Amino acid sequence: MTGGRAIRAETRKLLSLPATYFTLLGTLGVSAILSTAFSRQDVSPVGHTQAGFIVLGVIAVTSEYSGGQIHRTLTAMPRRITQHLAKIAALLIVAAPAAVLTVLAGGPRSAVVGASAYLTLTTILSATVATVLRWSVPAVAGLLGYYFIAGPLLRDRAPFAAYLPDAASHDLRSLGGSAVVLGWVLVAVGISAATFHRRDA
Amino acid sequence: MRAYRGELRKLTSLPSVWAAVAVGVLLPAALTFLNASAAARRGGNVDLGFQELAFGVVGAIILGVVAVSSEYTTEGENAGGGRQITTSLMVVPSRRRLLITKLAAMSTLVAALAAVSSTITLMTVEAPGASDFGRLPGVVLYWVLTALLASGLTLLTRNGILPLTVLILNTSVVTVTYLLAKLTPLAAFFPDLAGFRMFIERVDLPVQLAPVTGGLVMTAWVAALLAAGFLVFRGRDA
Repeated sequence: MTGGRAIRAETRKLLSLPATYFTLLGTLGVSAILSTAFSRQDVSPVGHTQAGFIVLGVIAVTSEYSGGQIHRTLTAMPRRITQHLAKIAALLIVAAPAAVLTVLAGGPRSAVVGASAYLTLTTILSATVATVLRWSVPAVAGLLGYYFIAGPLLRDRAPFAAYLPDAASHDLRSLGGSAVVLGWVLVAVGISAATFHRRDA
Repeated sequence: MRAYRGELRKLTSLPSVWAAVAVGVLLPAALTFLNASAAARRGGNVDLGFQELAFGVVGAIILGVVAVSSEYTTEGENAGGGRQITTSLMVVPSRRRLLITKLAAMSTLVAALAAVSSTITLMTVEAPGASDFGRLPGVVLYWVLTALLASGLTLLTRNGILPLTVLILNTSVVTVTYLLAKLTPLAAFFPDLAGFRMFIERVDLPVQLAPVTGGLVMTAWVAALLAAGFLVFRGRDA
């Protein structure tokens, strides 16, 4: 019962942020434009799109920390693990349809399931990183630096790169890549829940 | 001068700045080390080290963004609901002077970072020639101009997320501006693609620019963005 109400509250909070709409509409627009412009070039389809979902995951968490919203949140819902899982669930509820829409607008349509699953999971992963860091600028810089610079460079040079959380972005049709991301997400949610549970708000 | 010292101290007190310094030094050196053997097998690469320094500019981007955005964020429990910018403007009421000293302090840091990073990176290249060291000023200028570009964008948005996203995305392995250059030759005049010419010799782009021309094009972009940023900063409430 409490869980359901917590999820409803978190979803309403997330949907009340102008930044959520700004990010999602921006991602949708940019993705549509890029896919039209670069349709003839061999570019990873979700390559640039995932930036928007990374930002969404970070904003969902760090908005709690600008201006002390987190104190109000924890007064209303003192059970931290429940609160944290409710936030993740709310993010899933918002990110999954957005991911499907973005993939339909930008492609690849042949891999809608894989691509949307990947984008949704990446949103959750970003939220867990932001939970541990609590500041939006380091979280965004670190995540984008990894997904757009370190990750692609490692892919060609290291054999273990196939097991990193960004590997699936290049092979969306096989669900094995998404399974790897799911594994990372489960571990990351565990870590972020434990951190959030133990630390001062 | 005291305002400049103050800005320098504010910057060096930020953990993000030191993280950016670490990224700026370690990323290009490590990449060059990894790429050196592959380049040797393919019979040498005139741009070895310099291509990697173009990725290392992400350190300069973070510095440029954080220098401005740190004045506006209220995240963290110690912020007390206030923003640094109100204090900064109380101490240095002239907005022009505040902005100039801030950008000067940030540029000093980035120039030092670029000089150190490019020297270390060139050390990892086997037997760099004298002409390679001649390209180092180009690297330093490119990093400083990119950081100023980042600051100019952040002045407009007052929030670090958008400029960081746009600029880091465009530092990625396949940059958006590079893809645009496949569609229209005009894209070669984007600040990053024009600025590259200052230190990269082999560029696969439809328009060829001399190093000095490329630098001037990039400077024009930076000047325009900073002018817009300053007008907005002067005109609005803190």
